[in-house]
Amino acid sequence: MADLAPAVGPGLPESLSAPWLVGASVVGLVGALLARRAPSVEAERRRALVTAALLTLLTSAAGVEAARAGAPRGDPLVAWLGAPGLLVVDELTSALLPLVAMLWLAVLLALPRVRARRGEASGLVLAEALTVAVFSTASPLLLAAAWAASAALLLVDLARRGATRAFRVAAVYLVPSSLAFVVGASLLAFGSPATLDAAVLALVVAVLVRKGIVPFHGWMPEVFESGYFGSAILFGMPQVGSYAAVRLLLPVASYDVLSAIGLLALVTAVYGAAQSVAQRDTRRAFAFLFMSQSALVLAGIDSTSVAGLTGAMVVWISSGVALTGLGLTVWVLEARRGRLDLDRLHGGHDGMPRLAAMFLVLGLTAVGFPGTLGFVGEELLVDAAIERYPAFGFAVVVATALNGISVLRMYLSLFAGPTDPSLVAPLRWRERGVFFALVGLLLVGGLAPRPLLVSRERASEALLRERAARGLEPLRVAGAAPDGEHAAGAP
Amino acid sequence: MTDLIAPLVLLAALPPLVAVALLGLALFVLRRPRERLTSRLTVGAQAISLAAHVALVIVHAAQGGTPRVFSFGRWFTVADSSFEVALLVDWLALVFGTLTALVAGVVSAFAHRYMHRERGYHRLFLLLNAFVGGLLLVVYAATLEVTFAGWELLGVGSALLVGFFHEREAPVRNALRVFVVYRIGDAAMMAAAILLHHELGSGAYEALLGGMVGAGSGTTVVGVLLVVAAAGKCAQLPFSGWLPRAMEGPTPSTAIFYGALSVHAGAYLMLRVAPLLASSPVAAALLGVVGVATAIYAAVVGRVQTDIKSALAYASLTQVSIILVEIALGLTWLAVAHVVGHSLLRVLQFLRAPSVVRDAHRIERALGGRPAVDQAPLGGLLGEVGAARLYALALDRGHVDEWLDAWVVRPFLGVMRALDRLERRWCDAIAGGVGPAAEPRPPAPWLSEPPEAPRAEAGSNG
Repeated sequence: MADLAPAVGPGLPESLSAPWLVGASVVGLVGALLARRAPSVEAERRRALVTAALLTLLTSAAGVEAARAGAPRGDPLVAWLGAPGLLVVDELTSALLPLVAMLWLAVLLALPRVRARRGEASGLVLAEALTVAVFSTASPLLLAAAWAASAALLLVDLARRGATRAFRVAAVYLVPSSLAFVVGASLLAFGSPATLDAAVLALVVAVLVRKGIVPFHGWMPEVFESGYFGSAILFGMPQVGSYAAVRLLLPVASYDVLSAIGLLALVTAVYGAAQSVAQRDTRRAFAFLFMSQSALVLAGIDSTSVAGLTGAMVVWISSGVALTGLGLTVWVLEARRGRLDLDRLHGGHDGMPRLAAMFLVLGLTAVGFPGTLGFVGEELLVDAAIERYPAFGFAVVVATALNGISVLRMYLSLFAGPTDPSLVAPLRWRERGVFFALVGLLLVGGLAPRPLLVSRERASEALLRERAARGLEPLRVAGAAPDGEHAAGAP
Repeated sequence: MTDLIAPLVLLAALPPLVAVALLGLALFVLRRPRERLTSRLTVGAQAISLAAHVALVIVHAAQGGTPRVFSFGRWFTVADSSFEVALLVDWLALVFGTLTALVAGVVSAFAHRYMHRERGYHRLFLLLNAFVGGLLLVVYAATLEVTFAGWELLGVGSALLVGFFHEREAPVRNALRVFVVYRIGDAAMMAAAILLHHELGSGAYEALLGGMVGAGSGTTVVGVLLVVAAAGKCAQLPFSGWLPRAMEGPTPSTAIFYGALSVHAGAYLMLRVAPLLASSPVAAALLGVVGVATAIYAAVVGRVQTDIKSALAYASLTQVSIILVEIALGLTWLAVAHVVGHSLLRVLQFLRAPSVVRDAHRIERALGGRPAVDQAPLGGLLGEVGAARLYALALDRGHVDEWLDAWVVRPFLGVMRALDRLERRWCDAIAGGVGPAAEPRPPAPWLSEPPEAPRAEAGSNG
C-alpha cells in the first residue's frame, strides 16, 4: 500500500540516474560471472578489479547525476517510472553508493596475493553487486531479496572455506534474521495498518541481528575470526542494517521503538569497545571495534534529530572508510606474518613505517580524532545522543574513549617492538596508493566537511520530515523528546 | 591595531600544526627524507611562532592588555550544533604560549644534535611538532571544544613520545598506560564540555568570565570532571604512576616535554576555568585535596630515587601538585609565576641530567669536599623502624600502580574476558562443539608482560 511504502515522492523530474544503477547491477553480476570463469586466479583477480573499477565509475555517475538533476530540496531525486522506490538515488545514497563501490575497489586492490584461492575475488564482486543493489533501492521487497542474497553469499563463502564453526554460528543468526526481514518487508509492502506493528517488530529483530547489536551480536566476532577477512569486512562495513533502518524503520516506527533500539545500540557501543580492549586476537578486537562503531551509527539514526541523523551518516562514512583501511592493514600484515596476537609486540614499524603511520591515522579517525572526518561525526553524535538520552548519552563518550585505547593498543602491538625481519616488506605502490587515498579522503573531509555535511543534513531533514508527515512526531533539529503524540502508524 | 592581533595569534598558534602536516606529507612521499628538511621545517615553524609571540606581547601591551577573543568561523554547523573555532588572547595565554614556544625551541635545538643520524629522527620531530601544536592550541583556545581538540592531539603526541624507543617493551607498555590515563581525562573533558553547553549555552571561557556561572549541581559536576581531566595530565594521584615510568625511555629533550610542559597543561586548564572553581567549592576542594596528597606522596617517594630522571620526575610532580593547590586556593598569579619558574628550572635540570655526576664532582671540587648531608627531620620523628618502613613503601612507589592494576585494570579485563569466554561457549554450543575450544591458552597479562615474571614493577624502572 502506498501509505506504508517508503515515500519517495510522486511526479519527480526524470533524470538519468536509473540507467546508471541498472547498469551497475548488470555490470556487477556479469563481471562476477566472468571472473568466476577466468582461467587462472590472477586473471580472476584482474577481471574482478576491472569490474570493481567500473562499478565505482557507474555509481559515482549515478550520484553525480542525481545531484545534477536538481530536484526540489529535501525530496528524493529519482524515482523509476511505475514502481516508486524500486530504484532510488537520493541525498542519502548519492554519497553512500560510490563509497561502497570504492571500499570494494580498495579491498580488491589490496587483496593479499598470498594464499589467494579460486572463487575469492569473484565472490567479492558478486557481494558487491548485491550490496550496490541494496543501496539502490527503497522498495522493501527488493531490499529483502538483496539482503537475504548477501547473507546467503556470506554463508556459502564460509562453508566453502571449511569454516564450519563460523558457518554454523552465522547461520543460526543470519538465517532467522533474513527470514524476519523478508516477513517484515512483505508485511510493509502488502499489509495494512493493523499489521504495521508486526512488520516493525520483524524488521527490528532483523536489523538488530545483522548489525550485531547486543544481545544478538554473537555471530560477528566468530565470522571475523574464522572467516575470510575480506568478505567479513565487506559484509559488515557498508552497514546494510543501518540502511534498512533508515529506509524502512525510520519512516514508520514509533518513537518508543526507536528509543529502545537506540538504547540497545548505546549498550552495544560500550560493550563492544570494552571487549575490543580486552581481546587477544587482532581479528576479534577488530570485530568488536567495528561492532561498537556501527552501533554508534544506529544510535544516531534512532535519535530522530537532524543533528543526530547527520552525525550518524558522517560517522557511517568516516568509520566505514577508516575501519576498512584498518582492516586492510591487519590483513596485509597477516598475509606476511600469520595471525597476530595482541599480547605481543610484533615490531612492524621499521620495516613498514608508512603502513604504521596510515594505521595510526586511520585508527584515530575511526575514534574521532580532531582534524579528521570522524571528529565531525562524533561531535554531532555526542550532542544528539545526550539530548536524546540525557544520562545515557555519555555512553558515546565512554565508547569512544575505550575505542581509542583499543586502537592504540593495536597500533603498538602490531608495529612496536624489536624489528621483525619477516615484516620488512615495503608496501607495493598500489597498496600505498589505496591507503593514501583513504587517509586523504578522511583528512580532507575532516578539515573541510561542509559539502558533505550540507548534503547529509538535507538527507536527514528529508527523512525526518517524512516521519513528521506521518504524524509520528514533529520535525525537530535537536532537543527534548516530543510530547504526547505517537501515532502507531500511518495517519 | 585590532587587526594585527588576529593574524598574530594564528601565526603564534598554528605553525607547528602546519609543520606536522607538511612533514607528514613529505615523510610519506619521499623515499629518503633528509634531516635538513625536517629540521628546517621545525626550526622555521618555531621561529615564526616565537616571533609572533614576541610581537603579540608587544601589541597586547600596547592595547592595554584587555582579553580579546577572535572567532575564525565555524568549522562545521548542523542545525543548532556547531563547532566554533575561536582563539583568545590574554596575559595568561601569552605567558604560557611564550614559555611553550621558548622551551620547544630550546628542546628542538638540543634534539637536533642528540638525534643526529639516529633512526627515529624524523619521527621525533613529527611528534615534537604535534605535541607543541596541540599544547599551543590548548593555550590559545577560547572554548572548551577547541581546548579538547588540542588536548587530544597533545595526548597522542605525548603517548607516542613516551613510547619513542619502541624497540623495547617497557617504553611501549608505559606509552599505553599513559594513553589510557589521558583517554580517561579526554572523556572527562568531553563530558564537561557537553554539560557546560547545557548549563551556559556555550562552551566559551568568556561565558565563565562573564559571571554566568551559578553554584548549581551542574557546575559542580563540570568542575569535578575538569579536575579529573587535569589530574590525568598532571599525574595526580591515583594517576601518578605514569610520569616516572615515562622517564625511562626517551631523550632528555622529550623528558622535558612531559616533565616540564604537558604537566602544566592541566594547571593551565584549571587556571582557565578558575571562575568555575570559585563557584564550586566541591571541585576546588577536590583539586586541593588531590594536590596536597600528591605533593606529599611525590616528596616522600622522590627522596628514595636512585637515578636522576626519576628524581626529577618526582620533584616535578611535587611542584605541580603545589601549583594545583595554589590554584585551588585562588592564588592565580602565584601559580602562574610558579609554573614559569618551575618550567625553566626543570628544562635546565633535564638538559643537564646526563652530566649530573660530572656536575656533582665539580661542585665537590669547588667546595673542597662533600657537602654535609642533613639528617632528614622525618627520620628523627619516625624512628628507625618507621623510617625503614616508609623507605620501603617509597621504594615501591606507594603501590599506587599495583593498586590500580588490582582494583581497576584486572577486574575490568577479568569481567570482559569472562564474558568473552561465555560467548565462545555459547558459540561452541551452537556450532555443535566444532572448532576451537574456549581460550586454549592460560590467561596472560595485558600487552606483553611476560607471564612468568613476578610482579616486580615497583622501583625497577630507572
